[in-house]
Amino acid sequence: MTTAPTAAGTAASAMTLLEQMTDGLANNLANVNTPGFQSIVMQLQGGPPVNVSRASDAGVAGVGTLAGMPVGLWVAVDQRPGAVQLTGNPLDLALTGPGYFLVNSPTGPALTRDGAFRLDGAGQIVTARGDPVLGTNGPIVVPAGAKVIRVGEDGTVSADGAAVAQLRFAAPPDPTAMVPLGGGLYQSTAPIAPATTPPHVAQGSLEMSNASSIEGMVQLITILRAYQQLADAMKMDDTTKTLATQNVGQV
Amino acid sequence: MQALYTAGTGMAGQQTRIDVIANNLANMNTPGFKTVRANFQDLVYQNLATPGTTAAGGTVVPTGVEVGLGTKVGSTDRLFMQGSLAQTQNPLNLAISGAGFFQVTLPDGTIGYTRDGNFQLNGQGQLMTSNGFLVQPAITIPQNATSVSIGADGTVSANISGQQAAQQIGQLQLAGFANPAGLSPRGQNLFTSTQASGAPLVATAGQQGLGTIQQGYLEESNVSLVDEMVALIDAERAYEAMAKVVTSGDQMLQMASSMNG
Repeated sequence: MTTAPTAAGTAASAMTLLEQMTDGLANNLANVNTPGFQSIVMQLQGGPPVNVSRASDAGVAGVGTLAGMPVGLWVAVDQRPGAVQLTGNPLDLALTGPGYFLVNSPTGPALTRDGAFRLDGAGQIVTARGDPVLGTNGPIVVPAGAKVIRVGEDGTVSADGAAVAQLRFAAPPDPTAMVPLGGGLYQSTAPIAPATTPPHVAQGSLEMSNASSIEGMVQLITILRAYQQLADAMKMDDTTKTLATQNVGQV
Repeated sequence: MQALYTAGTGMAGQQTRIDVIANNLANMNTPGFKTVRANFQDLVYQNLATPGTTAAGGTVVPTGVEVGLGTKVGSTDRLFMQGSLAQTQNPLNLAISGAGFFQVTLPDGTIGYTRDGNFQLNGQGQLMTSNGFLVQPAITIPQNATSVSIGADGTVSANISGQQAAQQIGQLQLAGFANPAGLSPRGQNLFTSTQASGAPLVATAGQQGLGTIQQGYLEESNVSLVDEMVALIDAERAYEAMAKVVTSGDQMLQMASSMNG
């Protein structure tokens, strides 16, 4: 049997979750200039409703239900596109349309929209952290001495006019199944599927962060006010209990 | 309260960005200067709840909770977009219209690359940069030359006093890179090649994707005042937002600690 949550317990649980939401929000805001960064969307998640009964109702169905106290956060990755900025660098690739680049991270294949790529010593196209970008035939190697690298709208990579690889694109996974790894990479707990309608590639451009300072500030204020109200509720609960204990026996 | 530290990383990142913007603005009038951009990366994430585990209250966690620890400036990238060409009338001012770099010999014998074509002659009539580095391939203008003309393909010819026809005295070549952003800057408008930039392609100007040479022009920096001011405002506002997060986190801690008062 579940006992009815106490006011203080519910408030404390919600306050802890609001603190976690603030941490997540701080990360969204810290990354307003990170190319390909996708914000985290967070919502409080309520637990199962609780039956309430009076002492005199022993053995009888309760008189009503109380909404369950918040038990966790519902978290998803915001897959809305960020603004595209022109950079002119041949290895800056922006995606337009839903989908992700696939890269080989140390912990397996990962997804990213951060197309700030470069060449490593072996001529491989890699992310800023050095993870190889994947083509349909594995890591993409630009032949040594290649002078002009072109990436077509369809993701064909060519060096000096000769096609060397075709970029691989993944379809957007369930936003709640995405696990951020840092460095603009995401892993998916659901299987990664190839994009059925591949996104277009814009060479010489970068997709910027989809985090918005304004949205973040509004959320921050909302969290702060909710936190304030919970703290007040807790104080009120304390006052009630103080009165109850101190006034017992007084007539 | 992780938010305080996360916001701190954001403030540090924006500070670096403002340093980069300041350097761009300071070099607005540096010929051949290329804008630098601070490239941000998100830091690692902290796992607060793993999907599939049982949470308080008996529910199964459907989605994990990952809280990021902030941001850092992962790299500073140079934008090699064409700068506008300014006419100078100086026959030894050269600008590249399109991709490519002039080559100069550095004091240690290696080759440096520059877009700054503000060249001069030394005492021996050799073409050199304003810092005294000799241009490669070496061009020597005869002392008795009355005028020098440099063609779009880099052909250098001079009119020698007493001679009717202009004489070809050399040919400038340009170097191109597969990934110019991978070049390493060494100040004085010079770059050196790295593994990331790839080996240089040395060819005649106007061929193999390289640009052409314009005599009597200098390439201005590609710093855009408007873009930099917008970036500055953006950085300032982002910094302000971070500061607000720190204040809010502090207020939350205050509220929590004053609940029994």
